[in-house]
Amino acid sequence: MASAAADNQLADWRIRALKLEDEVRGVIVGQDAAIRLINIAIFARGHVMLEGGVGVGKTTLLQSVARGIGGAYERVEGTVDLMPNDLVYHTYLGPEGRPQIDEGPLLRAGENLSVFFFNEINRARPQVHALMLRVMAERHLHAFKREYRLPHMIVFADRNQVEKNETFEIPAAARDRFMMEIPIDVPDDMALRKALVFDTRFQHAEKLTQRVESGLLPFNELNDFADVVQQHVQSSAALEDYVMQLWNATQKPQAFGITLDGVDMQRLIQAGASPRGMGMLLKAARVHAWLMDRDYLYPEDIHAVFHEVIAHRLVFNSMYESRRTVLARELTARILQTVAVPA
Amino acid sequence: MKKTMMLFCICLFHGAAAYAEEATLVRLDNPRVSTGVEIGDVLERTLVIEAKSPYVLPKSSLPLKGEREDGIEIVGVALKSEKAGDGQRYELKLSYQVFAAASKAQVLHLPAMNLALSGGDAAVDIGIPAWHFWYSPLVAGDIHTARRQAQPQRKPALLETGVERLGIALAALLLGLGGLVYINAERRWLPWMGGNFAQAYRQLRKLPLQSGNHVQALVYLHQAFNQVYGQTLFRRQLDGFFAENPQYQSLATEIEDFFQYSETLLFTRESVDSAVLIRRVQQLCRRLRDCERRVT
Repeated sequence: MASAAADNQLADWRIRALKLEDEVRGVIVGQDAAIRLINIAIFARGHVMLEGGVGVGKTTLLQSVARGIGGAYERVEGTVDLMPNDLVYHTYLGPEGRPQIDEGPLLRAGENLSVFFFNEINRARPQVHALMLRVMAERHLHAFKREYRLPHMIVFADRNQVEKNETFEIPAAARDRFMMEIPIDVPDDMALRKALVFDTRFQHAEKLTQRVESGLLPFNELNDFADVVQQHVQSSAALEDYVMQLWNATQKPQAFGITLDGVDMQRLIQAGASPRGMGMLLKAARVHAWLMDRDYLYPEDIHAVFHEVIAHRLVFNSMYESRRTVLARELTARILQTVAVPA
Repeated sequence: MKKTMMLFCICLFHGAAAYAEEATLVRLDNPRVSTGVEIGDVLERTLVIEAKSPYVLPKSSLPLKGEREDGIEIVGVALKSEKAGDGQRYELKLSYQVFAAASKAQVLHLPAMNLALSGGDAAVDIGIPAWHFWYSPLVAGDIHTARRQAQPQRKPALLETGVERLGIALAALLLGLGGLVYINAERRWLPWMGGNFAQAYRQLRKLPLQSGNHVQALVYLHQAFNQVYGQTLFRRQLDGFFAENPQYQSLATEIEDFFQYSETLLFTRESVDSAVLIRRVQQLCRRLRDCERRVT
């Protein structure tokens, strides 16, 4: 009986999750893969780094997702003079001419905060990163002499990859806190590109996001349901062995005969995926399996999220850091091509 | 007169007996063959003499190296001596080289000699007789005869080896081609043999039909697919696999089924009759091997 109820719950939430995807796909064109990955991150309760150029629709995408999830959406712009306290409070002169203090974007919505978007996070100073990363890990903050809990918050951060001046690269340990780094690229399909340029409905991002049905997911139930998904989806011994092999391959790709053009494989990797990273890989993969209506993990669930969960965690030798995006993509692809399910 | 002759003989005998007792030619070894000797040949004589004390054979009484007589030259004189009873035993080795030039066979000889021993009151000699041999000239006649008989040099007639050479060349060519084919076929006996599915089929046939072995059977076949595809092959990539390997297209449905039940058995806890599954995988693998050999 309990099992039937759980099955019903899983099926009900799956319908809602797929509905959210459909709604966002109706607004954001050419980003189906990114939308699926964001959906997975929401149900795996992981924070997301968005990677992409300027003006490709990242903000619109997040606003649409936030509208579908419900709850509060907050946004802050990373600037070189941004300080940690700017996230916690802001001061202003009140109507009576006296200084007043209000909660900042992190605390303003309290427990209702569901999506926090940190735009161009690498423009902010490391002390701001430190605060954000702590809040991401602990989901609470002490301020104004009390504890603010942010249990439903998911952080989406965007990294400016074009400009390097006045930016502060996020260190590897900080990148590891993000469950995924999702690439947001301009779609290749020429018809979609034409629509993005000529279709006037894409000119008004705010109106566009209003087309997404709001509150599709009860944001304050997501944490509990995420636990249900994680407990429900099982993995076989063969798959667990396969995942271990993948983990080994991120640490010593040369041991699997993996080579990349123009790269000394002995010197490429300084550190492979972390145990936390592999744990997040499995969390995300289980959500994928659930979205695919399966009770067990299959390799394709791992593959669906492997690059986005693992690539940003790999620490390359400094001589290869400048080619990180390309090399990480090639390496994760080669790992998936090479590593077989062990006997 | 008779008396006088008898007295002379007695005296002669007495003298010979006297020195025979003091020094004796014990052995004389001449060359074994006395015919067919040619210019440049070296002939050796070995003498063994025993002399009683105080008689010795001084080196001054030996013939000198380089002495030549009638075209015979002494090219080696070697004397060894050792104690023998109350006297000495000498072994003298003499080497003669023939330098005589003659246009026809003739008798030559190693010269006779007397070896004088000293040390005693009376002089003692040992006479070594000459040794005769037949000298054979290298050519008969003189240079004029030779010139008359001279003929221009001609190569000997060659044996007919054309057919054999062609056969050897063809055999080497065939062996080389066979070697290239063998290497090109990744060291299989034939390019269509020993392929990935053939190897997997051999492994599957050896796999005992026991419970739990079905996982190994599935992995064997997956490994063959991976090797054919050049990377790990998953179900979603099957279209690409068929595009690259159209010879397996005829088994598309069976391959799809295999990947489906393989996923179910490898990645879920669904149970199965191992023996039945292994036989099923064997059958599919055999058909894939036939496709690999392009015999279907």
